[in-house]
Amino acid sequence: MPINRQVVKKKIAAYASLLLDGAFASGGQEAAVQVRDELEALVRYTRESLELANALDDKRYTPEQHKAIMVNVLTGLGVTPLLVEALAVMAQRGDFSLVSRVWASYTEQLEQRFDLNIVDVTTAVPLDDGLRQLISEKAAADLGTRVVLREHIDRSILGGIIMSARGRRIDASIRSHLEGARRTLKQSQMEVKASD
Amino acid sequence: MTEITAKSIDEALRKQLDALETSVESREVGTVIQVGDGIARIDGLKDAMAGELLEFVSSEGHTVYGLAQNLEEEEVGAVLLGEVTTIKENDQVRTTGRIVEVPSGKEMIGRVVNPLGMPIDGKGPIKAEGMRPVEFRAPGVIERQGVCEPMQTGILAIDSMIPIGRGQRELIIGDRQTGKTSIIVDTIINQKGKDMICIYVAIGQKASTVAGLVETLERYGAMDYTIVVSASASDSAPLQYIAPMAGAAMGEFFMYNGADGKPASETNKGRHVLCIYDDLSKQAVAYRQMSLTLRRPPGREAYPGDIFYLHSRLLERAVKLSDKNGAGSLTALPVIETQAGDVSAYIPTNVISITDGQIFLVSDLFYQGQRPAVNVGISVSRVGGSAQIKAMKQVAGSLRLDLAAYRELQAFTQFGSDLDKATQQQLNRGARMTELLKQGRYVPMPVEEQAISIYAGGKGYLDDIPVSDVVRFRGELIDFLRGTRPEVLSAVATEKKFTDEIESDLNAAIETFKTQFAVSASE
Amino acid sequence: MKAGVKKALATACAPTLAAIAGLTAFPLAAFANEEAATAEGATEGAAGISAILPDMAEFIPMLVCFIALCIVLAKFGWPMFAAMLDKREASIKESLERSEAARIESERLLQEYRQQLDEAKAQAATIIADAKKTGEAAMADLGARAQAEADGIIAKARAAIEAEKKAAIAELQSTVADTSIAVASRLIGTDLDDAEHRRVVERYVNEAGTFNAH
Repeated sequence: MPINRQVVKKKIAAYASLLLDGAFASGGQEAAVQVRDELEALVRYTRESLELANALDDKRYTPEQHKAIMVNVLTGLGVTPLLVEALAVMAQRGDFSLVSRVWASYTEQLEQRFDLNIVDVTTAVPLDDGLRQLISEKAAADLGTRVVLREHIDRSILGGIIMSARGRRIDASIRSHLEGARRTLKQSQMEVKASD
Repeated sequence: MTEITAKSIDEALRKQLDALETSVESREVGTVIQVGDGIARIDGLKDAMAGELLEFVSSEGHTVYGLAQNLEEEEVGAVLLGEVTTIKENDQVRTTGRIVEVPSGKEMIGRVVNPLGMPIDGKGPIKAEGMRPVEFRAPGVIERQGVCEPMQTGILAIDSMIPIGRGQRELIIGDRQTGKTSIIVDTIINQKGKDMICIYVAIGQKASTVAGLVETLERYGAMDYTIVVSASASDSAPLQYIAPMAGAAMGEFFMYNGADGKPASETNKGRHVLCIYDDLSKQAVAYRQMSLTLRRPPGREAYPGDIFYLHSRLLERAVKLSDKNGAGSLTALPVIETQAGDVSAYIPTNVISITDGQIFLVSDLFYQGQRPAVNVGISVSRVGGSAQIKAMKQVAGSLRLDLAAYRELQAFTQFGSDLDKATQQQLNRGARMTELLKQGRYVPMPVEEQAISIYAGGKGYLDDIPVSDVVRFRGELIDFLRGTRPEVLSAVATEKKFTDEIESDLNAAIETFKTQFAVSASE
Repeated sequence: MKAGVKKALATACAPTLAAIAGLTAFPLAAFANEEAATAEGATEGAAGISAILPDMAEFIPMLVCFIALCIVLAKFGWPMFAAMLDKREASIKESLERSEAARIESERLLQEYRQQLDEAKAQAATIIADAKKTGEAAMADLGARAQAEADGIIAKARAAIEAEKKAAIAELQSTVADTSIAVASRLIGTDLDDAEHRRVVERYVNEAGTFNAH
């Protein structure tokens, strides 16, 4: 199929803004951010699931069948009905491969509309209000806008914190510190990698 | 001597611990969208540079490095170096802000390493003096000077007629099994005591072949000044692709730095390096594989469009630096394997046009027993002549003429024996000169001995020796001179030319030797 | 050669003897005549002196015969004899000359052979000297090479031992590092309570770099 980059970009922006409008109408900023998170999880899931990607790519299924597959998969995962609807339309029209770009576009539009930055924070234990305050202030100072924290708990990072926003990441987890320490200790005489 | 004690290990660990840095900076991260065939497509990484080193962190915490290759609007295509299978979709990728570097320094010498500079010879870790980028801009016009010193291969046929200078790029091309690698091994062995550091880059070869080569070099004491970079056939395509560049980078360290490791200058002379890429056709194939899996458009013979640039960039790094820059040199001997003698294929024509000459090896000659099977008719060296010593120039001219006349007349011999005396004389001379160029493996000859051998042939001292005895005559003559007239040999070596006095001494010596030379019984 | 001469003499003498034989016939006849005369003389009584004096009648024919003989001999015999002598003289002279030449030649050859022998001796000596020199050079070279090789092997062995040691240390070190990090991870994972975790987070957030760093 002939691909015009601008056409594709417009299409993605259209999907994203539709989704954003719907989410905002249903529950304001909170719902919009929630949709973003769900969409992100979905993107990660589809990357790992070759079966789903293959099924949605298969030209032997009719668009209606594609839509049905999508709806079945998503209802099993328990996502927002709005998102199910939007993605089902995408699947039906054969645009599901654009989902990761829709997510990126959605995030961008979301941040622009509310003039905020979404900061994903991963810690080993739940944050308390003091820390939330501290992290928000630091991120707001760095990024120059309001920030919304999205908190994730992951015991496997052992401790510390991982913050990411705008495609950049600050990895201050104990796991990565220990990994760094181990690598340094092992290098001893080897010095395989130079200091950056 | 290092002692293995708890204390020494403790000390080493403590020293490393001091170097541990705990500062945390923000880094750009991306996510692997798709991985396979040693290629990863990455979402994010908007600031990645072409050729930048990327750090992939697998879910189990392993770190794998990759090279950013395709920078597209929405994603980055990267090739993975090393453990390809540990990386999965959704793994994180970080930029490092630097391009691929290899360790370099004196401790690399005598070692066998992979293209990332990690030892694979089981002789323990290497303490590098520094890191050098595998992609390095070749020196410009001002930083260079013309090729002026010879790089002796120790092979009569090459040093006499296809002389190679330090800083030259001379292609060795031929079918499989024509002795390309033996020429290279002889050349490396001949660099002993010539202040030359050799870097042998094996690309896409069997690991057993490389092991055999290393053993040979060790037996002849050549590993004392040699680094072997091995990307064997089982290594991934990206490793085979960067291997020659890594070898060049290791060599550049010695060229751009003096013996003390400080940058070379007028007073701190740079070293001389010989880099051998064996062979570039396999690197081209690896690069083709990489490019096709990265979905770059294929061109002629399905090679990517920038394969010429890849090779010219690599070979342009061969250089003779100006005195101001330490006068170091990097000589490149790329090897290309042709298929059924077809030099008009894409890669051979490319590399022929980039290099300063080529040595053609021909299977016909090889099977006729003319080894090294150098076809001197079509082999050339475009710049090495100015680096040849005068003695060799004096005798090589007549050798070239004799051989050319011989080749021309050889066709006639098939039509019968009614040849006039002069023609027969020429055929006779040519047959002996051709025989004179035969040389065994691992027996490189010093240049003065080569010159004397050709001198003896050119002056007609071989004309009455049976063809089958020519090689023995050459060997025994040299032994005789070494034993009884060492002054003649040393005179040629020091004067570097044939003066009248040396010539008369030499003539007398050869005549004396001829009286005691016993022609072997004919069959 | 002597036999040849004898034969030549024999052939030369044969006709002479024949001639003499012819002549002797005359005196015999003369004596016969004399006896007859003697018988007459006894009768005469005056035969004394005349017995030894040639009778003119006999003498003249004898003289004539002698002269004739002389003439015949001078005419035919003598030149033959002279020629024979000359021939003989020449042949003797020739053989003498020949033997002299042969002697000179042999002496020259002898001289030459002697000279060649000397030359050969000298050459042999030089070849031996050369060979000795070559041998010595080769031996010295071989010795030096063997020594160098032995040194090299020892040095290499030392280096190999050193490398092994370093490798062992590196291995040990990496094992130690792995173990200590594993222990540290376990400890941190289990021993820190939430408040401590939060303190760590707080410290890290304060120490962390900015998002804008490039």
